[in-house]
Amino acid sequence: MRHSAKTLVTPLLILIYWQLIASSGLVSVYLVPPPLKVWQAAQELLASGVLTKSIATSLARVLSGFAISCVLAFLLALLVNASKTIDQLLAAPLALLRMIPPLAMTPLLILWFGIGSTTQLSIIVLGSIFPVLMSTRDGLQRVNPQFKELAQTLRLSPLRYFFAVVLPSATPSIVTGLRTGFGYSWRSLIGAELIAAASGLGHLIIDAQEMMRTDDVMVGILTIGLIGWLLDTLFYQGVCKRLARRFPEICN
Amino acid sequence: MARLVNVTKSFNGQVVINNLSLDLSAPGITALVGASGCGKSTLLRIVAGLLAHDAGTVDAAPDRIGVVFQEPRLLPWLTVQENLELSLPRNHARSNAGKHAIANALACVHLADCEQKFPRQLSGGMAQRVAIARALLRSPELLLMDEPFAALDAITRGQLQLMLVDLVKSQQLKCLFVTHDLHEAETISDRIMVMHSGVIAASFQKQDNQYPSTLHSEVRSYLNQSLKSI
Repeated sequence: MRHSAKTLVTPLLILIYWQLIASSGLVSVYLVPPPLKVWQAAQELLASGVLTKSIATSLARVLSGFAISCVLAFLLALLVNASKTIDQLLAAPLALLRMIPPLAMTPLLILWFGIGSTTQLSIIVLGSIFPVLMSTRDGLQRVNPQFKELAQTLRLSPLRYFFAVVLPSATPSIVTGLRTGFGYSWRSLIGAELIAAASGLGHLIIDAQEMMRTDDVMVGILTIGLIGWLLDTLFYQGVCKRLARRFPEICN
Repeated sequence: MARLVNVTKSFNGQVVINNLSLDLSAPGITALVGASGCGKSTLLRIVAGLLAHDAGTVDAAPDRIGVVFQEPRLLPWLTVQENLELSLPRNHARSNAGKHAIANALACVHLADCEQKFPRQLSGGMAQRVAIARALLRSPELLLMDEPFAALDAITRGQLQLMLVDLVKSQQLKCLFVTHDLHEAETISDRIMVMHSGVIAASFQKQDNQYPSTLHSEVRSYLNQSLKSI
């Protein structure tokens, strides 16, 4: 059996189990809407354009939030890697911020910025910056000492050393950080939209909950999962296509 | 040219190089032998500029020194060509002259058609040849080699030893070759220096392609002293 077919076996089994439970009458259809009802709800939401618009809104938010996270994380990682003093000065505040769930900041962020894109982007950045920052920083610091010596004997300039030795040494770690960070940004976004947005997939779920449409809630939840999975797969395949020749360990 | 005068180096209060003077200006291969931990590699690293010495003078031009380590130390994410380009100035590396220099260096170590390969696609012997080519590309006045063939099988080691002897002769290089293998030192070198307790305890010059018959017994006596002092 091909790899892609194997990954579909468990979701299919869950779907069958879900349908059996829903149609057995043991649980209320309101609490657990059957897959068929959810499918019909998805078609209605698609036909009305609500689902497409919510997906587009959420995607735009997550991509801009994650891009800001990446830029900030790389700059911070370069900064703490360049200077031991800066590393020590930033260690405590970063460790403290890292431990605070981004959603805990939501009340303050709404007070400061109101319900809008600044609050949503702030939540995404707070949710996703740390995996990217930590992995990039660790990667940059984990250069093989033998390669450091080699660079000394070859008299490489600092810039050439960075691009030929340091950055490639950190690449596998950076890729892992980007994947984890993107997952976190997607999860933070939905949290942000549940509380501080009037559009997007999170808002669609809250709206459906208020209308007691658990089938629509289920559509929202599954769409989030499917899009997250799809984006992660596309990212992984894209990275493998570009980097597998030089970094086969990333794709093994 | 490289010359060391009264060089001393200690680690945690233990003297590893003890007021050592050494002239490496003679062409050919100078083999530095001695027991493990006697300071051979420390001495090589001081000459290479990888390690600071505590006292004395090291007169060497780091820009004109090529170093070959025990491991090839090829960057695994770069092709052979790209690894070799690192030995050349950035603006020269990708030029036709740079490509020509790289092809020449590879020919010197008897390698061909491997420019686009990655280090993982090379055997241990091939990788070490690339490392030697990388050192040669720096047009070194002095080639420093730290047990470069120690990790190779006997047949490959023999081939690379012969290749090195030819290379040093044809390019009139000065080479400091650190090894703990007296047989290897005897085979490839023009002179042998025995290191013991942080100093050059004895040196032997090859004459008529042969070392004096006392070489083995004298070197063995120093090695035995080193073993007793452990």
